[in-house]
Amino acid sequence: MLGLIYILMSLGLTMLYGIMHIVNFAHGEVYMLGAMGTYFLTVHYKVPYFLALLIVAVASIPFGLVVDRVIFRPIRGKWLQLLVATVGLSMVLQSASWVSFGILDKGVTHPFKFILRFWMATISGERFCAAILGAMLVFCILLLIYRTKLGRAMRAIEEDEGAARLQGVPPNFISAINVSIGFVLASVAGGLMAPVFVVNPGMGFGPLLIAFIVIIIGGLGSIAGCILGGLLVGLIQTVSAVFLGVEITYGLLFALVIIVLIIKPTGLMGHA
Amino acid sequence: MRKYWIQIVAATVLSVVFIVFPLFLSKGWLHILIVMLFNIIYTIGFWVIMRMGYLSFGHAAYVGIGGYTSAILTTMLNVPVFISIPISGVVAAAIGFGIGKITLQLRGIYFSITVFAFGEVLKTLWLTFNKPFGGPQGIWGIPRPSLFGFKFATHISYYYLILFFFVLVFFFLRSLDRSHFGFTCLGFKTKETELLAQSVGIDTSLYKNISFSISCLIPGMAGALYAHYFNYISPFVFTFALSTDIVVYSMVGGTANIFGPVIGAGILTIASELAFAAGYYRSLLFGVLLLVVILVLPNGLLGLFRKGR
Amino acid sequence: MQVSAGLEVINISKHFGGLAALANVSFTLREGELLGIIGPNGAGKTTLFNVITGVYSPSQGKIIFMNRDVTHLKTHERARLGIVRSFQQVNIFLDLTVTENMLQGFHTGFQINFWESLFPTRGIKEKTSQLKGRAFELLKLLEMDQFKNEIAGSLPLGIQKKLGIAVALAADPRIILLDEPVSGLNPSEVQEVMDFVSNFVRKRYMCVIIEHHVKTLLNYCDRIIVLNFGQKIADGLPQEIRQNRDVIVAYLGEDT
Repeated sequence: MLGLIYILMSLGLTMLYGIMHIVNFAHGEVYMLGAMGTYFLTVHYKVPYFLALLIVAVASIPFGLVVDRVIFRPIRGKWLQLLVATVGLSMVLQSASWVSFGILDKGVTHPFKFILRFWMATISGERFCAAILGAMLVFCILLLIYRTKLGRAMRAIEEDEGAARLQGVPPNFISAINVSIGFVLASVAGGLMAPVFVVNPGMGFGPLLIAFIVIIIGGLGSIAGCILGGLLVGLIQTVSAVFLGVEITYGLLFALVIIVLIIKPTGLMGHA
Repeated sequence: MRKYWIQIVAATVLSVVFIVFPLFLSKGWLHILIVMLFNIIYTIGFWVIMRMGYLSFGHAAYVGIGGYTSAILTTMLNVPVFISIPISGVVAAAIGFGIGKITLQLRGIYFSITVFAFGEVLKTLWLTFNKPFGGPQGIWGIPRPSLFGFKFATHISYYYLILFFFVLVFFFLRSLDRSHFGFTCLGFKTKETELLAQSVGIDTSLYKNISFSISCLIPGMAGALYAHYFNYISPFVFTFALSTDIVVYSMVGGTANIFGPVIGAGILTIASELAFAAGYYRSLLFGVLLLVVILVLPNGLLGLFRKGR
Repeated sequence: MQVSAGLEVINISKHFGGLAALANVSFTLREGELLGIIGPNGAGKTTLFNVITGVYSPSQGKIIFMNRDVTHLKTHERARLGIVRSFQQVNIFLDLTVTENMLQGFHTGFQINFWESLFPTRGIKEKTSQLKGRAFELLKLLEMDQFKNEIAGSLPLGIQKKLGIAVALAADPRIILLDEPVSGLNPSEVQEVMDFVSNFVRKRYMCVIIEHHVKTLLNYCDRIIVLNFGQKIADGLPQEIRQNRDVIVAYLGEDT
């Protein structure tokens, strides 16, 4: 059931991009930098774990704003260039990290060292913590999107930018906010997962791939679809990883993608 | 009329440079030229669907399918190389056709990430199964091709082989670009214009599927030729890095016509070999280059020479 | 003596989720008729066009064209039978020139089989020249011939809209469906286009026009259908529609 929570987290990240329609290849790298940041803060500067998470979260806001201003804003609306640009960004971030941080894996220890037992499953403290915090974060974001004025503005931009602008919604501002929130979610996810898996500059790739699979299966542009897809993928991943091994899992997931695409080309809950 | 003179002069110069000159080059240089030609061929194959507005982020997969198919056919089933190469191309095209049927209905980004996912899944497939793919060790001992007793064992002979293949592919795709088929395909770049095309009677699915198959056939055969050149392949050759390389070559060169990919792949391969850039430094460089090109020169180098498009 | 019914729309309904965009719409269009469709925003006019051209499948009902059931044909198959449309939002090939746009429209006019089309033969080059000539004639009728080598994306909106119509005509239709062909045009352009429709288009093809602005259609159409909330609320001659109570109520508060 844990992969499920992990997916819940990554989908929180993807759904934000569902609003902006920017598919961000660099998302995996932001996740990785969050984990790296957490590592450096906790190991080298002896900062307490949860404080480190907070610092990482706050630091990703200006990072997001800069990326939005320099890269995303000039090419907004041109999906192809945006996509390629994010790939470029991802390459730069990842290779720079490999060069600077070295190739050895790093580990982060978690303050919660307990182990819980539920029915037949054992959950370690760090996973449990990641799951709870992750779910809380997603819940907060959903609240933001559906219950606040800001969230309404975000949804308005997604549905019809022209009309939203006429109503006085400033698209550049909203875009900057979206990107920042997305970056915060990604880096915190990275920080949360740092104690669970090893930390190295290539760690962003796997979650990115899963996130993409979630988007395609769950539905293009649909938040509910993302959640549904996330749960489904998480379930399959956990079950299959235990019984069938990691590699087959990817194949299985992709097979699911193909099946979904054949039956309903816009994803389980998507709309064209 | 002047246009024809320029073309004739250019053709002569190029022939001398690429046909005569290499006879005097060292093995090291020939190797670089061969790798360059491979990259160019992958990229012009990619360009066939790129020009329709579909960015395939997993194109290395088809290079890999071609490579692995030919490797398996020749090492395990003793099929002669010159027969296995076209078969490998067809296999890549067939798989591409299947993938295309499902994914070409998706638009833009969703197509890109789906084919990207496919590429990754394929790579895991090759990594996992030792039979027949050789797992992480890959496949060794892939033979060089022989034709009527002559074996393409030397660098220079393989160079001419690849050059010949490149010329064939180049002229085929150039003719395709200028054909009615190629012209019609220019209309499919967005969902709206594709609908417009359908509204005037164009069967867009057919055109898209055929284009995509062609764009998989070419890298497929090139992948087979690659396998026979290096005599060895592994899953680490046909990775997302190669797919991104192809995209970088394409973006830097420009996509307005067939020369874009040629220029992009040609220049960048030579440049990165000369700079001895490898591994992560190369990725860093290409990443920066990609960002710069997107933000500054969205039409690539071709954009400097042509207006519009 | 049976009058050939060109287009029969029979009991068409279209549901999206719980919403009925169209409900039991039926009408017939005969050869030589210029039919107008009006209705407030959201009435389902464009949805109706989408169903007729195959962009959507109807939840219920049939479309018969020239005595042939086309309900299950794809858009391009219907286009080849002669059902062609233009679009409400400007929809043209923006990065091609005006002439190239027309050539795309003339696709079926090339009359070459698929395999021939893969290679640039002499026959195709001749056909292309020929069709470029026809394109020029058509552009002249719409007074756009001076733009023939301009990139479509660089043209002003009015010209782009006319190009959209020209491309549709290039497709050699039997029936042409124009979706708000004059919206966004200034009054002289509106007159130009509507005169063109009246003098040229309706003489050669069956024609259906959607317009939001009612006055325009009242002056030019033979018959008018009114949609509201997906249902047909009136069907008759312009002067009848002008006085129809339901229609006036539907438009209350809207510009008439």
